[in-house]
Amino acid sequence: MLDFLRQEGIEESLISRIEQYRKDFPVKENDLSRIPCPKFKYYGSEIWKLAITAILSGENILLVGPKATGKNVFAENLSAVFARPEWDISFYLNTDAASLIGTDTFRNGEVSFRKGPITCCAEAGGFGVLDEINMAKNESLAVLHATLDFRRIIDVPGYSRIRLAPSTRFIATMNYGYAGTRELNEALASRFMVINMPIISGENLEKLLRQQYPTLREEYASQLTALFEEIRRKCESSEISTKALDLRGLLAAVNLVYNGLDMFDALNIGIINKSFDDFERTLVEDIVSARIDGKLRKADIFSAESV
Amino acid sequence: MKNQNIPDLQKRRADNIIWNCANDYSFAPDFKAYDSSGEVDLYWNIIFGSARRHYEYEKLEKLFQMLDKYKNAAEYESVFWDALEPVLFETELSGRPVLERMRPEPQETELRLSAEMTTDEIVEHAKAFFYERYGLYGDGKVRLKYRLPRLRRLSVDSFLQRGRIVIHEGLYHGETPTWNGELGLSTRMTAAQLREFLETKFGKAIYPPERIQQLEKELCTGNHKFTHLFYTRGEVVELHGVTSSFEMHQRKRQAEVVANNRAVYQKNLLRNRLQITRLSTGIMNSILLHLQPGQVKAGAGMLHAPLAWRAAKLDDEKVFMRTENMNAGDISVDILLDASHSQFTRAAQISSQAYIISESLRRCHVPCRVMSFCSMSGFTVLKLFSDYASPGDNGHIFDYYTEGCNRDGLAIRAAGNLMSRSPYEHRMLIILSDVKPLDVAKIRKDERDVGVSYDGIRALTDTAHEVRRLRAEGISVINIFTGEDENLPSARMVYGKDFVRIRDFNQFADTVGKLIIDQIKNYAM
Repeated sequence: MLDFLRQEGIEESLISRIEQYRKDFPVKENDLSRIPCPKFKYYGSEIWKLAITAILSGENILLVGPKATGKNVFAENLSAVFARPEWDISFYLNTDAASLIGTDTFRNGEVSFRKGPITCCAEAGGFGVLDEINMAKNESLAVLHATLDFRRIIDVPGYSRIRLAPSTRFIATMNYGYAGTRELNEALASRFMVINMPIISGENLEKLLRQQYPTLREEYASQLTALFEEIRRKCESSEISTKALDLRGLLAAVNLVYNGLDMFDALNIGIINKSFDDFERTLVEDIVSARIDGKLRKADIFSAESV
Repeated sequence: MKNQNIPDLQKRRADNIIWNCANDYSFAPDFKAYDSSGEVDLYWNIIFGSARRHYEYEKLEKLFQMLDKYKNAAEYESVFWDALEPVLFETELSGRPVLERMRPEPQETELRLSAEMTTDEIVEHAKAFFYERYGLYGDGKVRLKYRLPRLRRLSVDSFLQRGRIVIHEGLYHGETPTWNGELGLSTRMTAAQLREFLETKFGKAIYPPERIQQLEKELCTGNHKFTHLFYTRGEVVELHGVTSSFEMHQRKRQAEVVANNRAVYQKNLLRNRLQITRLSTGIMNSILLHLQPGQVKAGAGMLHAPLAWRAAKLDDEKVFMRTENMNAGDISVDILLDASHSQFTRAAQISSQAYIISESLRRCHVPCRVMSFCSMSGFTVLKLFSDYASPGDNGHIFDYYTEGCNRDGLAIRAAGNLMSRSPYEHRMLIILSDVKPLDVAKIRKDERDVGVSYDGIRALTDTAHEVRRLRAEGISVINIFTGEDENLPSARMVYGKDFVRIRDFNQFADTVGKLIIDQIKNYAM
């Protein structure tokens, strides 16, 4: 991963501090399996620089951005770069203190405390990814205030006070505009450094496609990129919902073509069918047919050595 | 096939293809292509869209406007497009290799254009060609020697002959009409004659006379004694017999205002759509957040053990829990637009605002009814644009037209009466007005009373009273203030804190959203 950062043009001074960080905080044997090996890499040196500096300075970060900006990919990439065990915590409407910190449970005939993911993460000095943090009610997140600010503690009533291991960091992600999301309150937001995730640029998307599928022909990488940009424009002008703006779906569709489907079928199940509204589907289909020849197959879009 | 016969969805689809290829969503497409069954023609719409991207389209538009002055405009335009198509095809091909496969047989044209030409050159070239070949002067006149139709016969098949329908939708280009103060009313008419007059003016009455009598007995009391009500959906009554040129003129003027309402909305399409998205997201979130099913103590339901002792010891029967089911269906919203003449200059703005709110509510599946009110000759006219059950009608809001006075108190009372029959638990009334109630029909105590005028503080107090009455009935009333700054104190007096003033249209969704969301929060309490 560090070599990748060098390729992305991250300063050597930062990279050497990451190396130092890794040395200072070795990972326990048990937690090694929690260090992620990302399938996708995040492209965007500016964002890398912001996040690395914030983490090295001991801050927690909040990644804010619309769909398909790679928030989760980036969070995973960060854990990998710093070689920290990762705890993924998905927030939902009924997330409460117990599900985060831990709860009483009955074990061997007596009541004992079962640690929640935040507590585990804090003890192991890992990275906690708080996914879709704004899906939860602000009140239930109040328990995290002391954990996230300078106090760096978790106080469990009737149990004990847990100090966060020095290498512990929290990376929260949030998306504006999904149904069910809400504003994060100021108290919580002030405990994070907020990074606005830019929409993936055409150039970086092309890079991503070529990295994932090295044998994909250049012209098709650029056609698919243009297709994705067009779908995005349509979402931005609110002609369609963001359902079809699905980066995972696009990447998967290319994979399907590689495995033998023709282009139209692959894009159909990867992107077009993501909209469940008939008319919206027609609009997406029109964008696809105005750009991509549906009959293309593996031999057409991948270069010879892979066929 | 005419424009009207193309299904709306296909039109929308054509728009989307054109926007996509133009890489711009901020205009209303003019040329759209369909096949003979009314299905969109992908290839030609791509061409129309890419023309926007590669050329300065305003200049091409001028050319089309010139051609539109001729009877055979459609044919001339198809000659032009056939000439431009190969150029656009070549330019687009590198970006969209798929066009190669899609392209229909290209047409031979005498008009030759090339990719090197700028927009100006293309327009000049085309103008010269139309003059040489068809004798078009460009002002609707034709050169003398071309007057015989066969000389102007086209050398190629037009779109239509090739089984393709190309529709050129022109926008309203007229100027904003001005008001000259006539009402065209004679006070010597009887009530029945007046109703007939109102029917021709505003549209068919919804209720039969008996029902109206009953409503008037119920509503036209107190300050509104001796006034009348008229309800309509704006269904046009055909003019028959001898009609005054004045009436014809009025209708024409109304059509112009309505066309302008739509044109102004279209002009700011992108901004408006953004406002709709922001407003509907905000409302949706607030509904999801505040109106989820919740557990409440109740006299029946699931027994809640920790409370059971209260029944025995305290005689409290509420020891059961019941799931309170609240969903968006439990809210209904009525929008009341002040359609008096004082709003004349703001007609386009008000109709756009009302449309944005009602469209946002429609997207959140909140039933919404939109109506306007104005007063004339003692009648307060309520015109319904869309109803709870027919949210798709909200496009009719652009039929908003202003005239006459406004008796806010009676209009609010009548709206409240309509709402009291609403089957929904939570009711909200949004009023767009300048809070300047004024009516020529006076406030009279009995038949012999000469009465006092319905204006100024007297009318404001009356309106404030009606607003308070509705609130007491549990209806939330909010005002979107559309008037001048000097009337702000009146708005404060009548609506308390529940009013907003829109200073910047870009803030519309946020400002109005906040007000609506506050009300929804209250429902949850």
